[in-house]
Formats: sequence, structure tokens, C-alpha cells
Amino acid sequence: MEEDEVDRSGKDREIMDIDKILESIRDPFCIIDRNYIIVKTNDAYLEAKGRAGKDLLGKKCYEVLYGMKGVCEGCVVEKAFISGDPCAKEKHVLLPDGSEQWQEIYTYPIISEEGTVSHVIEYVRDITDRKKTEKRLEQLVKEVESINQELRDFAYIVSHDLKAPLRAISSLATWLATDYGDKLDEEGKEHLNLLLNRVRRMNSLIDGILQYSRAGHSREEKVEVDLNELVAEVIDTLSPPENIEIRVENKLPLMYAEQTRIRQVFQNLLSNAIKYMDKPKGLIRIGCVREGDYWRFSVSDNGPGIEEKYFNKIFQLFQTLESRDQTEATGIGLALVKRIIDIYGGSIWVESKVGKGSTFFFTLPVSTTEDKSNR
Amino acid sequence: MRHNKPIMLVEDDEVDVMTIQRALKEIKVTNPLYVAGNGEEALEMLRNGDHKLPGLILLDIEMPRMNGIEFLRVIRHDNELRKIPVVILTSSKEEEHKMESFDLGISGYMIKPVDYIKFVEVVKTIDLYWTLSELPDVDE
Repeated sequence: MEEDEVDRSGKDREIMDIDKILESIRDPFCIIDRNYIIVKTNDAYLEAKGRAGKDLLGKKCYEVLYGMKGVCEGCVVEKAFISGDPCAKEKHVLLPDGSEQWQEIYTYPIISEEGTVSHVIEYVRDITDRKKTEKRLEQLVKEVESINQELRDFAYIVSHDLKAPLRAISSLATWLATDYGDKLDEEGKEHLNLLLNRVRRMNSLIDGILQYSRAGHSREEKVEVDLNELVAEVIDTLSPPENIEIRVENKLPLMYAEQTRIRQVFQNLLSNAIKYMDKPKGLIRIGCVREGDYWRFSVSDNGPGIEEKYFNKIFQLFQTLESRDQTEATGIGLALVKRIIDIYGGSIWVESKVGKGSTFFFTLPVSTTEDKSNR
Repeated sequence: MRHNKPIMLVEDDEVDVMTIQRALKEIKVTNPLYVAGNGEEALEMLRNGDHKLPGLILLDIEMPRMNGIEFLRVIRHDNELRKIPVVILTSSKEEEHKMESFDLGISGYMIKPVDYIKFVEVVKTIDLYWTLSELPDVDE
């Protein structure tokens, strides 16, 4: 360094040799001139190119590195020379030690004082780990898709292949009862009756499994649903007995959702409340309040109530609180409701006092009630 | 059923065949019934000239060799057979099956009930509809 330079800066520091700076960079890089001649490299670059210990300086990159007679196809150095912009590409490389590497190659143009690209810096990054992760992810997504497809197929097989024999059993049992009824004693008739009864139960179990599995992959379009109308329709379809009053206590929001799914939620909760009502004057109340980013809905009844120890169990598939012989319940209704609420990103829980009644709460994100751009 | 024209049943399940035969008898439908075990057999029967063309085809979807949808595709391209009304009688509630069959010009899509009594109701409904509905004359 010349003395006067130090003096002129007025500071006590050295201006470092540019070569020194470049040598300190540990990531692989090289500098290539307009004639594709390598004018600068570091050890890391030689290693990344599988040329450790070799001298590449003063040689054309495409000749010495790739044994080509001209610029390689898709060369990002060429691209940077032409465009004057930084470029990048990914490359799969086989190193001399036999190992494979995925590299990301960045090229940065050096603009001369005349405004032309005089050199290009090539910078190499080892992205093998990232690539491996990407591949793994891709594979996992494929696996998940195929499992999903299998599930769909399974649901279909269940619906057709299990139902056909069931139908046969049902028909044959009915004919036995009709054609040979007079030859059977009371016990025999009762057995046939039980047999038919179990057939019906199995039929509703199969329907329930199908509904449950279909809830996950609906092909239905999301539409704007006015919950006030939807709930009124559900109540109408359920046609509750005269001693049960169903009251909607607030105005309900509009939703943007699959109509069948959301209908199922209200239908199952309300039909449970009606089905298990044990009071001479039944009252079922539907309410909705906004809580931050969620709507919190509630369906309360003054029915028999549920013991606290069953609060979680009732939402599990095939769980019923009474023997199936007392109520023909399949244990699918609430599990299905929970699944649908889960899909919309809400949650569901119950509060209840035995003898007094139960309240089922569920939340739905306000976004499901507003977002129209989604899908 | 009207005109006493034959009814063709394309169905591979033996008990389902018995169920329909019994249901027809129960509601006093005396039209002759042709039974084919799959689409190929049905085509063979319709085309070999031994049988009078049926006035109605009751068609299952899931069958071996040639299923109901494939059978529909064939007869919709057959100038003679395309005029015969077809009612699907299946256990498949698949939306895709319904859409595809209606695209292929079926006249009805019925789900086979598990309960025999309800099955009879379904057959009764088909009979009633076919007695009242105007049909093209397939023999012309």
C-alpha cells in the first residue's frame, strides 16, 4: 500500500488485496471472462467441480470442465453475459469419488465501466440435502394421494360388495318368514325377526361408514349458505313431535361452505336432541355468538343429559351410550359432526348436567362465513 | 306391465334376480322376464333374434365382463336398441355413476333397498310409471 493512500483516507487501515478477499471466500466460486476463460477460482470450486488440485486458470470453462467444443447448452454464464442479470440453475453432478451432488449454480455479471458485462462470477451451492428433502416430500405426497384413493375405493367396495350379500340375507329371511311362517313356532319367528333387525342395523352401519368416509373428500361445490334458511329446512325435515319446541335464538350468519356437510351438522345435532328427549315439554335452543375470529354455535336441549366421563367418548366413531338393542343408534352421527367441524377448522364440545340437559357447542372460523374467493 | 311386452333384467346376483321375480309376481306383473347375467349376455339375447324385443330393461351396474355403463354405451349406438327405456337398479349411490347413466339416456335410477318390502315398493313404482308413461314403439 502506498503511504499517501493511507494518509488520504485519514484512517488507520489497510486497503486489502482483492485476491486476499477472494481467497477468504470458502464457498465455491470462479470468475469467467467474455471468452469463457477462467480467470479466478478457489479450492472449494475445484473440489465442487471434481477437479481438486488441478489448475484451471487460463482455460476455457466448457473445455476443461465438461470436455465440450463450445458453450454448454443452458449455460447460465452465457445467460448472464447476454442478459446482464443474475441467473441461476440447478444441476445434478457426479463427482470423481462417485458421490452425487445437487448443485445450485448462480451467476452474477460484472459490469465494466463501459456498461458491458466484462466477467461473470459463478457461484456454486451444494443443495443435495434440500433436494433429498424435496424428493422425500414429493414421494410422501404421492403416497398420501394413493392412500386417499384407496380409501375412496374402499368406501365404494364397502357400499356395493357388502350390501349385496346383506340384501340377499334380508330377502331370504323375509321369504322364510312369509312362506314358512305357519310352520315356525313363536321362537323361530322371533329369531327371524332378530335376524332382520340385525340386517337393518348392519345396513345403517354401512351407510354411516360411507357418509363418514365421504365427509372427508366432498366433490360438492362451496356455495353461499344462509344458515337461517338451512336450519329452518332441517327442522322442517325432522318434523319434531308436538311436545318439542325448537327455537332459534339469534340471527345466524351466512356461510360459504358445502351445503350437504353443513346441513349434516345441524341435522345430526337436532335429531339427537329430539330422539333422546325425555321431558313432557321439550325445548331445543339454537344460538350463535361471535367470539373473535370464530362463530360459536350452540344447540341446547332439556333432555336426559350426559355424564361428564362420556364427554369425549360420544364424539368417537361407533360409540353409543346405550345398548344397540335399546336404541337403534350406530354411533356415527356425532363422529360425523366432529369430522365435518374439524375439516372447517373449528372445534366441538359438550356441556351437560344429567337430568337437566345438554348443550353442544361448536365453532367455525369467521373466514368460512365470509371468504368467497376460496375455491 | 303394459302390452304384456317382455321385461329384460340384466343382473348377476342370483338372489337379486329372485327378489325381482318375486316382487313382480307379488304385484301381479305377468310380463315374460328375460334374465341376463351381464351386459354381454344381454346383448347376445337382444341381437340373436330369438327373443321379442323387451319393452323395458332393468339394469344393474356392477356386473362381470360387461357392466351396466358399458352396456348402455353399446345400446345407445344401436339404432334398434336405443329406443328401449332402461331403468338402472343398483346399490351404487356414486354420483359419477348417476351422472354417467343419465348422460347415456336412462329413464330412471333406482337404489336397491336392503329391505325386501321396500324393494317391492320400488318395483311397484317402476310398474306404475311404465304403465302410465308414453313409450316409443320399439317394434317399428
